Amino acid sequence: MSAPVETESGLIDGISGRDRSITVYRGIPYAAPPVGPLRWRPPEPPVRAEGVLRAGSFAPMCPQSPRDASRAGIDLPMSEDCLYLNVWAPADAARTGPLPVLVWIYGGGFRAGTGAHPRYDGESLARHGLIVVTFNYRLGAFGFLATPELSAESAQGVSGNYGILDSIALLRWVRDNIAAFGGDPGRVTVAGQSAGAGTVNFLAMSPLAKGLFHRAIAQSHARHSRDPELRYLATSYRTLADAEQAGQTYAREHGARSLADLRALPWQKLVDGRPAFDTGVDSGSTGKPPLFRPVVDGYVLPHGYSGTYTEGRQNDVAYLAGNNLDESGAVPESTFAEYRVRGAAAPNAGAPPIHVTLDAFVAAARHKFGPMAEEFLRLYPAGSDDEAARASNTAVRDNSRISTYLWGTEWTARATRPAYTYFWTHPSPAQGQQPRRASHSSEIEFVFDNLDPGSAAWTDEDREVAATVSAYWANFAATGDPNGPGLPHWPPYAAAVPVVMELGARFAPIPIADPARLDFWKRFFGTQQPW
Amino acid sequence: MEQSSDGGVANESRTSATRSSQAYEELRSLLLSGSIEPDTRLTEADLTRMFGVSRSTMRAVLARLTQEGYVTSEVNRGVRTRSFSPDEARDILEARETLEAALAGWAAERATEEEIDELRATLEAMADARSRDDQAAYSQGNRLFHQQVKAAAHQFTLARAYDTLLYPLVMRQYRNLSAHHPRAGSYEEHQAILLAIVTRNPEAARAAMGHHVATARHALVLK
Repeated sequence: MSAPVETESGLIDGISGRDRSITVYRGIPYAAPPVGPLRWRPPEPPVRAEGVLRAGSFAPMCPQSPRDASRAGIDLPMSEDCLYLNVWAPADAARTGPLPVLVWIYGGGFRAGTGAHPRYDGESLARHGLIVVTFNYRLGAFGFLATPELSAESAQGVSGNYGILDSIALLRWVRDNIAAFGGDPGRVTVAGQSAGAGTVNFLAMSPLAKGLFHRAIAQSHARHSRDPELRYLATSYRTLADAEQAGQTYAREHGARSLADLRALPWQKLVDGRPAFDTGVDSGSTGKPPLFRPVVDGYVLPHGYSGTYTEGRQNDVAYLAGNNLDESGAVPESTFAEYRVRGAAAPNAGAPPIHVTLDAFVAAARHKFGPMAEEFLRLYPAGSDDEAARASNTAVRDNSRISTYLWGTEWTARATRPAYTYFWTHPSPAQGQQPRRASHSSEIEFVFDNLDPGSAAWTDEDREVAATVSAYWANFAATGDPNGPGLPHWPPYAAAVPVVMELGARFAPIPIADPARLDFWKRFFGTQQPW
Repeated sequence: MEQSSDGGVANESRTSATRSSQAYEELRSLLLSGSIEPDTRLTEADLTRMFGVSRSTMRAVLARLTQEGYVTSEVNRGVRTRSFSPDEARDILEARETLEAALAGWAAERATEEEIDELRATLEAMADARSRDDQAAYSQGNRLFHQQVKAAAHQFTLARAYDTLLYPLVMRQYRNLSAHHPRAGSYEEHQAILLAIVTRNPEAARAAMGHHVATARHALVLK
């Protein structure tokens, strides 16, 4: 057991992890509770705890749809008083440190999630010589509501990025306090998956986050700014004017005529079971982004992706990013029949369409590619439902790899630090998935080296993959380079060499795509509006 | 940003009966999580929006939860989260004592070797949590232990009766937040229950479980 740690939140007493060499600190406040008049305000500094704070229990999760909360399957209440962080640190770190710090940002479409989820248990990763931090940020309307009244009361005349400002406040807390845990504030990595990866990208684009982190890991989010797939995602951001207008409508629908009315509503009235869509966005498919997502407000986020990269305005950090085999509309081949039985799903905020019949595949191609549809269908030919489902999978996977590869050309054009890209292919049994699949989020347990026997039927092969992947992540957090002794070489990104590191079934660079297909997607993106 | 591929897609195509039972489970876990204070008014409109179901579906869900005692529904007061008087709380906890003692007795007769191994593993995890002063992990182990005893009893009617008790809500409302957790002796009481089950001694198992639950009841603030 370590001695209590002195922080701006007070004296914090941790507990031993299941592995006694790790100390765990749960539920440390990093901001004042964002309740009452502080609802929809940038986070304020934490209230210092009296005496010693026993950090033995996770804090409540931020208000979110009960369906999302029950899917998380953990026994935590929801409360608006939710801005807390958790730390896993080697027990001797304060003496032996300073150690690199990995800050994990959960995904969930900016409407769900908690840093307390057992998938993000940092104990095992901390054994690799890291300080691991997880935390909660505000979600849905609480995190991303914009209205003219809210903008008017802010010094910068903006609103709508409270959930991103929470992440920035957390990083300031880490800068000022992590040394007391044995962490090195000069070696901070932000890592996230899905909307968490989106946050990583936004942090890289925000002048407010400059200098607060030094490396970035974006799991399933780094897409070329002209890839229309970007637009159905929660990370497709909004303009301030659009966000304010949508916010006014939202307030009216909830019976509030003023900001005071809105702040007086109990939180239960601001949690929506069916997340509102943003129907005003054309993504080229049935996918629509959720309404509540970050805002290019000229302050937290001065510019969109394209505007940031073209001028080289992003924070110059080492970057690691990639996508998964079975996501963005691709599904394991053995599930085609099941998806056909289910029929076409209603459009779902943030969710990609899945095409498993010839008719759906061809119709979607004509809609999305317009004059280039015939060429697309020649490159991805299909004459039956089964061939169409396979062709759709291939196209989705090519699109993912090509989009990240082309993002790399944008990102690295003005950056001085290296980037690394990956394609995750190891099928996981996590979340009870039958058959196993390399689905969206399936890499998380492996990255955390957190194959808890209670969570799934993990095999020795799974454990080997987890050992390799977590070593890459830990090395990257320590040095900005995932490579290290005993690991297959992962070459840094180079625009001239269209390869990506496969992680999973093999650990080796693979081609991005067949050259004719790569050329097609490049030309198609060229016809699209930059985002 | 996007949902996991096993997420939204599957949920949208379900039948209304499935949606209703899903909303029931979700509202029930929300009530059990302690997110909403006792005696808070819940309007049908709020709940309909919160769970993304129709009014008629929510009405059916509320009727079931009212009948089961998770919420109260009164003319002119709407639906409210349950708040237990000390007498009601005592009544529920006494019933729990009787039921759980009986379940432990059956578990001593009927637990399989595998179930006994699982109970042993849970108790080990509780010992580990206690030695690290990890209260959250201890509570988790504690809940699991009681569920495992219930399952090992292989007594469906008693188990169902036990499941309808509202004691998790009572515990939340009356827990003594200033007392040290876990309570002194709690671990040893679980040990005694397991020993009685391992040695196939139903009488001892009933006594050990009855004593354990009664002691837990006395630790609540039932003024």
